[in-house]
Amino acid sequence: MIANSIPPRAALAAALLLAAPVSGLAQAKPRAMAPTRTLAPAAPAPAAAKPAAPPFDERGPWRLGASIGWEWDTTPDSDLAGPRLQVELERDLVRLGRRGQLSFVAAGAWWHATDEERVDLGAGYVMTAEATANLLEVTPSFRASFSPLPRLRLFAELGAGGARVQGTIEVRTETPLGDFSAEETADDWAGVLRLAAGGTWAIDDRFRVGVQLPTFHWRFGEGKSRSFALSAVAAYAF
Amino acid sequence: MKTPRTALLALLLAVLSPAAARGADVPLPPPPPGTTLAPASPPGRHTVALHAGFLAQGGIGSPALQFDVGRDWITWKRFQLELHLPVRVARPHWEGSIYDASGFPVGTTEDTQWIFEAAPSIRAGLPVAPGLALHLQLGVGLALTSEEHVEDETFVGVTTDRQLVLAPSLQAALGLTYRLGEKLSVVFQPLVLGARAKADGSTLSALWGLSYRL
Repeated sequence: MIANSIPPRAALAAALLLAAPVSGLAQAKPRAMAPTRTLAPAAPAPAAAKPAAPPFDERGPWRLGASIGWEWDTTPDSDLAGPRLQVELERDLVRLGRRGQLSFVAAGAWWHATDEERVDLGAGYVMTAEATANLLEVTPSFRASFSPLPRLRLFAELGAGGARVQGTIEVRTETPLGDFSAEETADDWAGVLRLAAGGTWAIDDRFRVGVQLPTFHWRFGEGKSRSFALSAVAAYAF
Repeated sequence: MKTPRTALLALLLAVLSPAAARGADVPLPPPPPGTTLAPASPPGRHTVALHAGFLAQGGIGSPALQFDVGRDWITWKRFQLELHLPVRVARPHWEGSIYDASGFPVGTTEDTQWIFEAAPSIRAGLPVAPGLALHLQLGVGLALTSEEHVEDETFVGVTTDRQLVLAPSLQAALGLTYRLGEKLSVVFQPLVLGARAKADGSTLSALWGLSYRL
């Protein structure tokens, strides 16, 4: 009887209106009535600690970097030294806390080291020994970085890889009767252990510049050698 | 009549709307006929890994290859203990000279060693970040060393000495493991120290590896 007297559109509207509070009640949590009480004067809120700013967001997780520097052979009885060029590809892996980051670095480097010794034997006899070493190495490594400031990133890196060394020793003897020279070339393979530390500054969300100082290398081939390098670094994020 | 049907529909909406809000409780449809839902397989407890790097003995370096089989053991506090059996092979090789009493070179030497080591080990892994764990590995095992020493001396000729030595060995490694996927991980051990009885000296290795969970 009632259905016959209610217009259909009105019945539908009424049902929809009924449905809204019912569905709301189905998900609403029961609320207890708040007791009335006299509020005491509010205590001053403690000074909120300023949260540490997160690291500067770069354009992508990949970074292509290049470094140029100088490397010294610190093995006893060796004075080899020369320029070092390195190209590296870095990929962010996992965050270490709020301001830390672990990344993987694949680096390839070339070191051109030279040394010259000159001995004057007297009576017009002079002996000069020139040593030249060209080293190509590939060193994958893990890099842990920390950002004390949003744009500043300090890092430490540990890696292991291999190197190919080509060495040449030329001995020239200058005498009153003429000059003589002898040259010997040798190739060697060496395992490399690398430890580096440094810092970079983000210019914008793509470019970053910094320094790698110091970088230590231990090389194990037909003998053990160690070296020390200082480099300037630039990287492009993508 | 339209009105009773409309009213009925409206009342149905009013009753069912709370249930409609719980759409996430709808169960999955049944699998197609002739098939069954595959049960989720638990992760395997065994791993196999292949490592490559270098081994240095007395400053002489050589390539090193290591095959490793591992098995999850127990979890102690935050450390995950695993049992491992690494088998490593390396080939140090070096050349030298023979000098007479006055310091004049009179010959050359050539030494080649083949080192096979197997050291059952315990690895303690400490997770430090999602997918990243540091580990310390200690093992005691056996090392088989085949040595060949060749001397070529003026007015003496070529002499060759061969020796086969089986001796106990100790290994300690420090490294990290990063999970690349569900079953694949990369293992980096930049510091692996080893000591063999009846050997000229201790060894230092650095190894990169890929581990696969069976």
